Amino acid sequence: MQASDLNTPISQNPAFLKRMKQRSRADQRFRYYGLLAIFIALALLVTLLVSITFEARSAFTRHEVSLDLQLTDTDSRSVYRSIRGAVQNMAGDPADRDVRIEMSQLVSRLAAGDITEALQTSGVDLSAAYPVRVPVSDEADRYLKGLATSVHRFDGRGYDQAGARIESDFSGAMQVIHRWHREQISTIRHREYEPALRMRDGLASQAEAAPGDRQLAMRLAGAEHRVELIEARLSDFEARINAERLVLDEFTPSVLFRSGEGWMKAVSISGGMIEAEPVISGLDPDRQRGEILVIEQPESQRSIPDAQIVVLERFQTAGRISSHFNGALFSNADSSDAEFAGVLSGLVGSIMIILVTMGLAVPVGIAAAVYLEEFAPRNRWTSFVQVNINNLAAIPSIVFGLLGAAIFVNGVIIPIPFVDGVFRLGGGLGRGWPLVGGIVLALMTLPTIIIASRAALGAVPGSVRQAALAMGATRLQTVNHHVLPMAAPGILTGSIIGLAQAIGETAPLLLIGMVAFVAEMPQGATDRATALPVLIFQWSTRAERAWEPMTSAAIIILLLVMLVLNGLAVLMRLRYEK
Amino acid sequence: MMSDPILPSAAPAHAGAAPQEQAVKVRVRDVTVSYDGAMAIDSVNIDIPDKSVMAIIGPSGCGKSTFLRCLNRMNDTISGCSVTGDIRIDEEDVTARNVNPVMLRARVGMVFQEPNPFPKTVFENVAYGPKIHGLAATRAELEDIVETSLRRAGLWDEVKDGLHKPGTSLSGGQQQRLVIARAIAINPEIILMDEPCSALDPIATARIEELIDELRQNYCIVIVTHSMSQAARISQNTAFFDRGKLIETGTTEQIFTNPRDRRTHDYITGRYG
Ligand SMILES: Nc1ncnc2c1ncn2[C@@H]1O[C@H](COP(=O)(O)OP(=O)(O)O)[C@@H](O)[C@H]1O
Ligand SMILES: [Mg+2]
Repeated sequence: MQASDLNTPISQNPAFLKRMKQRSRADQRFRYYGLLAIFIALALLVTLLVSITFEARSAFTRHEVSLDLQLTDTDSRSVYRSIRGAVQNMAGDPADRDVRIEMSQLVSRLAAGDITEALQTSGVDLSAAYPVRVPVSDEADRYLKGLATSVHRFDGRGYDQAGARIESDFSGAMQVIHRWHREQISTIRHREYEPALRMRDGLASQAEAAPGDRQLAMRLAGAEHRVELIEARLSDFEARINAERLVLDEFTPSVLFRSGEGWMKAVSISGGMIEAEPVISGLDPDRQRGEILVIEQPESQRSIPDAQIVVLERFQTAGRISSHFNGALFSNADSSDAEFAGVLSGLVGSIMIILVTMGLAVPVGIAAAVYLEEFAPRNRWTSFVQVNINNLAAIPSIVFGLLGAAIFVNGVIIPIPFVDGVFRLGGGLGRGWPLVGGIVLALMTLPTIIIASRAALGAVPGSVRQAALAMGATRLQTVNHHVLPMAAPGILTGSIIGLAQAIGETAPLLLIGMVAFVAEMPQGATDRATALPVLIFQWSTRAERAWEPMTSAAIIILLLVMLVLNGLAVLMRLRYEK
Repeated sequence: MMSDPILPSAAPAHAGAAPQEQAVKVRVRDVTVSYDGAMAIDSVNIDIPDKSVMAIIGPSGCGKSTFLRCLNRMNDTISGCSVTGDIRIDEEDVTARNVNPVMLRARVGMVFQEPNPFPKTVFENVAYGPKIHGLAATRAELEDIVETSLRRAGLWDEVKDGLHKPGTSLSGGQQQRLVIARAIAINPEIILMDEPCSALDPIATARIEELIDELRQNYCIVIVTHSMSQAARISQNTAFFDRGKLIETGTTEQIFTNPRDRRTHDYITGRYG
């Protein structure tokens, strides 16, 4: 072989040259893989942040309505009664009890609380109207933000009214309704009709193969019936598109007609007219004030009824609706009403938990690491301890939650033999206390801190220890004066990573009883509390749509807390390294 | 053969000036060291005179560093290392259990092969010993000690404007002199040096050698070196180790001109296999 010819200089050896090319290409490739990996990671991160922010953005503002209250008293019941009165007044004081209740739901009962507090500190003249601004219900807020349904507005000026009949140009409204019907048809075809057809055909071919099977025959009959039902619905929808006149109900889009302050709701529609029933008072006789509203989502499929929409629209025209920064998100505790819920209780709970965790895990962890790394003899016992610390780091956090619940909250119950009694080991701490959460998370964080600190201590060159010892420093002085300061950045990073992990933990906190709904601010580490991740978990499971952006907003706040923590770590590192 | 000419560079520089007799500072008797049962040095007996330089020479792995570490009990810090025998400094047994090694190390300073200043300022490096041993009552005293030590180490003029720069930012030779300044700042009686020049260039080496020659006036110095010429230039006495045994010890002049043992002869003439 040429390659083994020792007389060729290496720079002319073809085997070498070929290999050289391969090696450089491998180098290049590896660089591209690295870049690709970083790019993918960054892209995922950005996608996550953007989508969460996008999802959360509506939670950072809320709509409030200005009301002039006619107060009769300053207790919260009467305040709430006047709020309800003011809203119902805007709705034209409906006689129907159901409608009245519907109206009162536009503003949460909780709104009275804040006003009552303000009244009691400032005092008020009961004879005059008392102006307040209260947040509207979460559903109303979603409507005002355009999240509940699409609303199409058409010109209704120059309309003609004769009793229940209103004549105007309804072609735009018709178009919207037709389009909605066509969309429904296509959805039904896709999601229901085609699968039903496939099912029927499949059963039919099976039945053909096994003519005697009666059960199969029955199933086939059922499938055929289902296909017929869907076909009937489809032809019904198609007929509606072609119809001259369309009957409107809670299963179709709603058409509302307004003139000034008066509102009517269509029960049927055709290109040039609607038949309508009054919602609030009569229409304003000024024909130039006519307007048509098509609420695309059928009333049965949204949680804000037409009557509430009308009242909101009236408030809006009166200039009484305004959008504000949702300060409650930061200054309120949790609440069952999304418009009043905030993360402050969770934040306070998390801070208390993390203080307990930090106070326990950091000093104990560093001390353990220093002992193991600098003082302990290397023998079977210390290597046993070390292996088990590593094992501990691999234990799922939920197990620590179970352990914490068993030891600190419930206590371990040991029956005493021969005597009719039991002995309770531990226990006595309350469910859901930040103190318990902090202890459990400290147990969880301890191995991380010990391992990181040991690595940092081990990375300090032995020459530094030798130098100090040879100068006549004691072992403790060597560690305190030289080794620990040099290992500090690494120890700090490890501790912060451990604490950041702890801040985001949910499962162990749930297990020690941090599951209940806590609407009050925790007063101390031995008070029922909640924590940010627990709050996020709870909010994500609540049914109302308004909790979706709230959950995302809480996630953003948790991420910000982490960011601040990591920023602090970087700052401290920089200061230490100087 | 015994009568073979000695390497020219190995000729003692101070030939003619006969080393005067000094009192014995360190008396080593029957010292044996093993690491995890493997013997590193075996029954070493040696007397080290005060106010002079003793050079320890020998091939790599023969136990020179191990021997040096016996003198300040740095072997105690190595797990698995056991030391037996008797070491007396000024007739005081320092191997006894009740002797505090911290106390001993204050009396016996050490300079390592790789310069190892603390990652602190020049000032802090030199001030460290006086601080932990409580030798300076005031800041002024401390500054005085630092200046004196740096002057004695011949480093003052080079660092006096940069006392608060990190010690690790100095050149290798300067770092080694800084380490020597740090060692003498607590005024020890003995200074151990383990190949202090092997990481330095010839000019820096020459400076350190000069320094050692000056320090000899006040201290008992034990230096391990791989350079025959260095041993010849700076030491008054020399000990030759081979495979954990002390083969021969005597005045440097005698060892280099008239070695008694064949192995010593072969080693210093560079014929060692
Ligand atoms: N820390 C240690 N652990 C185990 N064996 C060691 C240790 N230090 C030195 N030794 C062994 O002791 C012998 C002498 O080493 P050393 O004193 O460093 O020799 P020298 O300094 O003369 O090169 C060598 O065989 C070496 O392998
Ligand atoms: Mg050595």
